[in-house]
Amino acid sequence: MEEIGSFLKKQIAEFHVKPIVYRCGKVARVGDGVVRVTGLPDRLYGELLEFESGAYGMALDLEEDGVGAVLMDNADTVNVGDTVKGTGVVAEAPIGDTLIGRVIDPIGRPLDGEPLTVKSYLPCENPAPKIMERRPVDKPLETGILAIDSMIPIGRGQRELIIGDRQTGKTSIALDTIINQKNSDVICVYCAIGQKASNIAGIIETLKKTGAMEYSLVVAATASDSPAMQYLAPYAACAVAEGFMKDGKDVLVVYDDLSKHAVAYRTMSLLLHRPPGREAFPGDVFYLHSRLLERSACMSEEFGGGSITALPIIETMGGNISAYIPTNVISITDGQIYLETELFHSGVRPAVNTGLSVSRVGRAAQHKAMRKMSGTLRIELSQFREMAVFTRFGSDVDESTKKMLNRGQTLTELLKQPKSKPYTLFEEVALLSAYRGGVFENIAESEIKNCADTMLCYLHDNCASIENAVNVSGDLTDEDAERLKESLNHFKESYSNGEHQ
Amino acid sequence: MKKVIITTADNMSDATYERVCAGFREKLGEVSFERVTDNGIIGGFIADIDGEVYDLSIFSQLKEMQNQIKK
Repeated sequence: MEEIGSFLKKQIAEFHVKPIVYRCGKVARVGDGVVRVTGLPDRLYGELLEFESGAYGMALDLEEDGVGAVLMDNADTVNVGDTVKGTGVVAEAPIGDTLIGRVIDPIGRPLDGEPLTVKSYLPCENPAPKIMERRPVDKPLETGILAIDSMIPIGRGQRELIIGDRQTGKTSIALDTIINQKNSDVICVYCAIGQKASNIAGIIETLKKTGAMEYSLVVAATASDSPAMQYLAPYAACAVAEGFMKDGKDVLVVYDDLSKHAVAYRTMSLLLHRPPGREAFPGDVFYLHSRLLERSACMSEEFGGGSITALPIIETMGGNISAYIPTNVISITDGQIYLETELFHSGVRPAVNTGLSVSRVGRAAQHKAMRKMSGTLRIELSQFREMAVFTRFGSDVDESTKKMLNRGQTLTELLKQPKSKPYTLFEEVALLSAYRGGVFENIAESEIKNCADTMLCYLHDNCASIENAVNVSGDLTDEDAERLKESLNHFKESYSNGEHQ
Repeated sequence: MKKVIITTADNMSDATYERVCAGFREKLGEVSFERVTDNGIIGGFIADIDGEVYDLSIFSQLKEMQNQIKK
């Protein structure tokens, strides 16, 4: 006690009274979360401003005689005539390992009720890594979803858009991918932009239940937060990810979703009297997303060797992927996973439309074992879907077409996968190998899923060494492939004899 | 002519206020003054010269001291 007393006395004795000097402006106009401040020169673009009431704003329009700013929170406490101080710092996000398992808002305040200790910060707006700091994407990021890992593979450092109408399972794909990183070394950042608070709570619950919160964190700006907060959220999430990437770690960031982000930015821009363009979005709405997604990268070894993989999500209206924001983001990203309402309602889940989905760099990063098995899968499935539409009206089809339709149906059944049940690499390879080996021929459509599950159980018991080898090395040697084939044939025989029923 | 807005608590005597004004006149030449009272600052004064603020209020100094001790 005495020690504390003497320490305080010393501190107080050493304190020198000196004037605190700062520049200060006055609020000239306030409304709809936008503030016009007069007389606040020498401000930075994006600098945080502190209002008399303790509210914070962000300077976005710098002019000779004043500043246009958007309020981050407590918008109702700001009045005309209030003094405004510049803080000298642009919006920053906290970085470091203490964030893992936490839920924070875009300016780094914890939302889960626990105190947060942070050692360092990074500006939310960072320049993207330079060309020479990068290297080509060559390591796969497994989603655990067979349809994606086989046909639309994603690499670490890639930007893969998930696009589709509402209620088509976009968030589920992103969450499944996060859940599947459990035994990998990937840190996951889930960024919720403009979503309902109840939805976000549900997502956090899922992540906790599946143990994914042990290597994930959530950056959230709900629908009730100001447009400025929603605007800032993905940049903050990216800054958090960059913090991990600088330490050489692989990071996965999910931006859920960028359509709402664009809408929040449109709100801000219109209120700041920026000229509206197509669909009333401002002129720089392309740059809004391109500068965010360019920050995803696969770094070369000299620069730490980390990576940021981005899974932005876009919600379309009535399946229209040629609207303004969807086309923008499609052109920025390295491919897209297109989800279709029709497929979703016909029970194909995940409802991936393989014809419109593409991965522009993932092939190079695919595991060898998967590459060997997935070969022509996409074409087969596309041909089946086309043929299925074609033959819907006529029942007279020749033998080869019938066979193709059967195989297509089998494949469609195999690619169905329940939520939060990711496959390991071996399971995926085994399923495709079984499909190629004709294990599921002559099995009723409704039985296929059951048969596949039984087969996986059988292989876990009988092919543990191959399973281990594939999961560790990512390759399936010719010898192992032969042994796997034998086991599958054995299973096929015993299954048809009813031994596994 | 520059304008200096001086915020004081209402316990500052007129004589002290005049001394503060005289100090500014010496530094800045001919300027006009406006006096605002705000008891929230406890004591001392805050001078606002065209948006540039010199804060010598007891309230802000105490806050500054608190920040330093926290560190």
